[in-house]
Amino acid sequence: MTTESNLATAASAADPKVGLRAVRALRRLLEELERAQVRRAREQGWSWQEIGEALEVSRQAAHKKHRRD
Amino acid sequence: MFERFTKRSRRAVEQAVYIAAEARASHVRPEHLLVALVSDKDSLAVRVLADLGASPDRLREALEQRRGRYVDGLGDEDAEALATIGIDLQEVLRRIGHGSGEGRRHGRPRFSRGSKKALELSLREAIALRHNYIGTEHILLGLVRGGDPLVHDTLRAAGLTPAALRAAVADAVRQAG
Repeated sequence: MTTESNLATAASAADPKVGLRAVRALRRLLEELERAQVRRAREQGWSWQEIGEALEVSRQAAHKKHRRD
Repeated sequence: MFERFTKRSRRAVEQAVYIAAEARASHVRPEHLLVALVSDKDSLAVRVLADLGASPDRLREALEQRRGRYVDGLGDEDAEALATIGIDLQEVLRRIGHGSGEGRRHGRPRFSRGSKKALELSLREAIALRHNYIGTEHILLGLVRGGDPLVHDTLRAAGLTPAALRAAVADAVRQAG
């Protein structure tokens, strides 16, 4: 990375508008990541109990959030 | 919520569900609604787009080209914001296998949060224009107002701003009426 683009990155990281946008984006990315991983686990035969434990949520919470009707 | 939808706009929504199912998507997303809208060449939505110089086929192509770079609800601006905290969105997506098929699907895809929002907003757009029905043109406005990044950026890149679209809808409805 060039000095110039480092500076540009540092400057925008200090801007709350960009920072908050990153928080929002990260939250959505997290949801996407969770969906993908839970799907993979289910395809490999994991139970909702096991998925809940891995995510530190109840079996019911994991199932309610990720079941596919 | 579909009571006020015209036959044509109902068909567009059904078409969006079909398109999402064909793409093996888990959800019917705003992009599917947009593709469904531009597929019906005789709809008022397409006429509005044509009035603004946008070709339905070209819009669909532009959407396809962008699609791989967008996760549900994440666009260019998000990728830039994430880069400032050291996260490479494209790399993350690549590693979780996004876009390489969305897994096996059973049954109908459900409406995503963004699609529900766009359809609700289409009702509000109709009310704002004092129309007692929801046509394809209102769904188009609902999509624009819904702000889904993929749809938003695609329309923006084609030079279609929310204000221009709203004005064009008002014109088209006056002519059609």
